[in-house]
Amino acid sequence: MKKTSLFVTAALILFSGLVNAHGPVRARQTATITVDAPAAKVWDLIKNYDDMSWLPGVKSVKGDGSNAKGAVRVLTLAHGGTITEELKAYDAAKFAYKYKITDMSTTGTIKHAGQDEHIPVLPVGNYAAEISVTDKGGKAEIEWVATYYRAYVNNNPPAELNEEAADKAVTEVLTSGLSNLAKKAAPGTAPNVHIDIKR
Amino acid sequence: MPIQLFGALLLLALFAPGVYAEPRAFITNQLDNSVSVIDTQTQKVIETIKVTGKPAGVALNKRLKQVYISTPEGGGFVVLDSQKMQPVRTVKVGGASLGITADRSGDHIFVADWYENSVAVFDANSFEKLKTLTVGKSPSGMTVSPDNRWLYVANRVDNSISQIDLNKLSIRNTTKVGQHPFGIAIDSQGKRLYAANVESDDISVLDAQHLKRLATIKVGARPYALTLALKDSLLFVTNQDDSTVSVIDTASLKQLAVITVGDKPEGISTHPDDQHIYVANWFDNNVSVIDANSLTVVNTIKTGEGSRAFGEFITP
Repeated sequence: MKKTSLFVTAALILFSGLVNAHGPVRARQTATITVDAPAAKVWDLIKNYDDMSWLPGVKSVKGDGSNAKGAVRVLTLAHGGTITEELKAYDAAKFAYKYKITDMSTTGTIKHAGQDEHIPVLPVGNYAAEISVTDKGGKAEIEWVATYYRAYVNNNPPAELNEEAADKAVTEVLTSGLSNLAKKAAPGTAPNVHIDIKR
Repeated sequence: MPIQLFGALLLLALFAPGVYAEPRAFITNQLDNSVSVIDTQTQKVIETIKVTGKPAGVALNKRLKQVYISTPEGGGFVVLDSQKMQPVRTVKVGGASLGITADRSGDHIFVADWYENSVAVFDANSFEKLKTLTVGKSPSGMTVSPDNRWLYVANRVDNSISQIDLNKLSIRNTTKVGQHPFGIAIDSQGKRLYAANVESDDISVLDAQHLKRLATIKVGARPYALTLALKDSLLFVTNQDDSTVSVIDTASLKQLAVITVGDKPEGISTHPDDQHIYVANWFDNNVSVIDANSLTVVNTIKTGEGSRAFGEFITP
């Protein structure tokens, strides 16, 4: 088992005990990795809002070439789903931007508590995130913080739309993205993505 | 008496209340399991109190000088001495306690249970449970009318507000509002009730006596809670997903301004001076202070991780 997977597994086990204690509660998942490359070089890889060639699982991105607040990008995923994201804040000097998901396609529908429930491609609700790069003594620390709810807004969620499903899906995105960025910025970097989930 | 000494004494007299350093803002830091206490005079965090169970809601008992902190994962609430800034006791309620408030006389505490669709009524002196009221689905925000006659509860999943008669401890009326009402506020005359509807991005304005719907006002994305200032003339609403506070003129029921605060603004409360508004920013781990006259952020105070502060959180 790779180190990345170990971290992820540990995080999931730690948090699985808490997830059904109350109604939908916002989670904050923080992924970090340190890369042996200048921060500016890493920022170059992610600085264009409509360029997500660094994120595995994304087939293509349609944007408007803008890095201004309000810019919209539509990600088409390898398996065909789409995610629409709006740029909420952009700070080139701090090597950081924030965005939120405004729309998602669904992968299917299930029956739960007498209702049809759609399963979004990323099974989360109200997702917003910030990605940033910080210089740490010549190395770059990439931090990707995602905040989200489970996809099911009422009490007693089905397994497809509960906290575990949301956490797992987000962990996969953040981990694969940061591992790949590390590989691009400094080939040979161990993909030690650290994941922390709080809610 | 030399004039300088007189001056010094006068200064001392003027600042003597400062020794007690009230009013204080009690900010729940949900992800840190703590409560930050801000001295609003010095604008500094003067104490951080450990409170386990993911502290979220805040309520004041002005008579007993206590602050109640709801702990959704602790199945109840913690009682703090607002002057000593220390926990006094923990009260078990069961279920998932989030919304919490006290009546105006400081005799009763009301705790909403998200899962049980109920509000538990506690005696504020003995901490005995007096009654459990069945309300709508996922009760959240609560407030009591200034004449201490009514308790209002937002039933989030039912999209409704219930009015509870505090003499009979029974529901008098329930009215549909927008989608997923969460925070609610009543004006100082007990005439109008405002509800922040998280899923429909608007505010419901109700006549507080009969719950008649008066107006619906569009605000920003996912409004969470609200508070009034400047003699009820302005209503301030936190928009979680826009990192802003909407300001509504309560006479025209129109949005006057949108103020940028920190990310994921949630709990919002008015200082006893009726002019300064404190906003807990969940994502940024801090509190924005707004001046209601200039409609600008005049200070930002670092608190703890996941600042939520749902309820009335500034002591008199």
